[in-house]
Amino acid sequence: MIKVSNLDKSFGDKKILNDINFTLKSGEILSIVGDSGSGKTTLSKIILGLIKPDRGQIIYEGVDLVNLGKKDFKKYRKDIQIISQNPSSFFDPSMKLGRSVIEPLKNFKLKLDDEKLKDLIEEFKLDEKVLARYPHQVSGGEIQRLSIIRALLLEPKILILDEPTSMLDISVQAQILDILKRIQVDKNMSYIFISHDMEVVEIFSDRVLNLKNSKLI
Amino acid sequence: MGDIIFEDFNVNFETRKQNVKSVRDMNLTIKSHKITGIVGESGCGKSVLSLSILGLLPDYAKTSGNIYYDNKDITALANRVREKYLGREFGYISQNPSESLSPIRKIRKQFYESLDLVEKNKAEIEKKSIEILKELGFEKPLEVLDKYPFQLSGGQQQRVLTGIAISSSPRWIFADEPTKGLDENIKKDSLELFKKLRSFGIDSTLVITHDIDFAKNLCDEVMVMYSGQIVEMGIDVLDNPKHPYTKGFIESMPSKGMKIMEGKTLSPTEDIRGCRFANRCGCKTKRCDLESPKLYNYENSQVRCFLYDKGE
Repeated sequence: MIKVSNLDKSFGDKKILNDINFTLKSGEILSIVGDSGSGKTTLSKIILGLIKPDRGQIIYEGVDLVNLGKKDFKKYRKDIQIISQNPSSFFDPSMKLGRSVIEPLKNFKLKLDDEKLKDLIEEFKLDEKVLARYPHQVSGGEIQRLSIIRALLLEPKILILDEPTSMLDISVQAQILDILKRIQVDKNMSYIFISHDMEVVEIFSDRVLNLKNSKLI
Repeated sequence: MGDIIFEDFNVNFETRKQNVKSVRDMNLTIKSHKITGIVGESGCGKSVLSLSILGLLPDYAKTSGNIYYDNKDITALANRVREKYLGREFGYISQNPSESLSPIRKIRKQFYESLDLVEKNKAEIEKKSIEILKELGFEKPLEVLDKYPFQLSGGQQQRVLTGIAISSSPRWIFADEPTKGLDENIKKDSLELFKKLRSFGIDSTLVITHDIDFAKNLCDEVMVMYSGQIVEMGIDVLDNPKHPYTKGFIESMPSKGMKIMEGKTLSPTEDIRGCRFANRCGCKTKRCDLESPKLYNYENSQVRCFLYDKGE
C-alpha cells in the first residue's frame, strides 16, 4: 500500500528519524509505538506531506510522494487522512460543526452525500443535533467522532490515527476503536496507529513497530 | 469544616434552540481531608461540577441550588468575594498544562502571580518558588524559573502548574484530568506528585479523571458520574463495582479486553422519568423506566440503582 524507505529527519542538531523503513500492507493495522518525543508524530506529518524529510522515499501507488510538488501531491492527499489526538485544534471555533465536517469535501471539489453523513453519524452513536453546535459546546468524545467522520467522508485508503483516543475516557475509547476496526474491515482500509498505550496497541493492531532513539526496532 | 456540600444543584447551558443539562439535582458531600476522585465518560458533567465549585463556569451557564463551603453558600456570594477563594481556599490544576500556562511569560512571572496572594516580599517569593520547585523534583529550580513553558516537557509543565497551584497554600486542590494525554512514564511521575501534595499541607483534593488505574492508586474515595448524576460512590468502587454502568465502564479498560458498552448515552438535552442509564442497562426492569433511582446505601458504597433498594 505504502512503502517508506531510508527516511531521515533532523531538527537542528537533533536527529528525530534515522533510516526509517517499513511497508504498510493493504487492509492492515500497523501500530507505531514509542515514548513522547520519539518522533511518531513527525513521521506521520512526513507521510502526509506536511514536513519534508531530509532523505528517503515514500512510495504510494508507484509514485514517490516526497518528490512531489504541492499541486501533484494533492491528487494523493485525499487518500491519506489523519486523526489527531487533539481534534479541537482541527475545527474552526467560530464555525458550526456541521459546516466544519463537510469542509474538506469542498477542498477536493467533492459533493456531500447526505445519506452517507447520516449513516456515519448513526454508526458513531452521535445525535444529529451535534452538527448545529460549535466546538466548545461538545465533549472531547463527540468532537473526536466528528473528526473521524470528516476524514471518512473523503473515503481515504489510509488513515493515520495519531493517538486518537489518548484524550478520551476508556468507554468512549473502546467504542471508537471498535467502530474504526469494523470500518477498516468493511472497506479494506489500512491504518497507521500511533500510540504509547501498549495494552490498546495489542488489542487493536495486526503488527507493531517500536520507534526508539529515532530508529524503528 | 472544609467539606463541600451540594444541595439540589443543577447546571444548564441554555442556547436559543436547546437546554443542555450538564449537572442534575446534585445532592452530595465531598469530604475534606481526603483525596476524592470523580470518574466517568467525556461529557458526563465531571469538569462542570468542579468549575461550579471554583466559580469558573462561563457566563451563559445557568445554575440553581446551593454549594456550601464552611457553612456559607458560595453560589450566593458576589463575584468579587468569590474570586478571593481562588488561590487562598481553592487551587486549580487544569487539564492540558501547555494551554494553561501563558506561552509568552517566563515561569518566574507565573509563579509570582500566585504567590503574591500570600506574600509581598520579593525575596521571600523567590525563595518559596525555589523551595517548591525543588520539592517537586526540579534539580535546577532557578533555571526553570527563567524558562518559557515551551522549553519544558509535558511532565515538567504539569509539575510547574501543580507548583503554582499549591504555592499559595490553598486548603483544596482541584485537578482536572491530570494524566490526560501523558505517556506511561510521565503518568507514574504524576501519581507520585499527587501523593506528595499532603506533604505540602494540602490534604483535601478533588481529582477528575478518566484514568481508572490513576484513581485506584491515588484516591481515598471515588465517585462515578454518568449523564449529570453521581451513580456510585464509595471507598472500593473501582475494585468492587456495583452499578451496572460502573461495571461496564471498568470492563471497557484495555486490560479487561476493551468490552463495548452497548447503546448510547442519553443526550444532556433529554429529560426522562426513569433511570438515565436504563436504555443501556442489561438489568433493566419496568420500574427503571418509571422512576428515577436515588442513591441507596449498600456495603461500603452508595449506588443509584434499584437493584440495591432494600426498602429502607
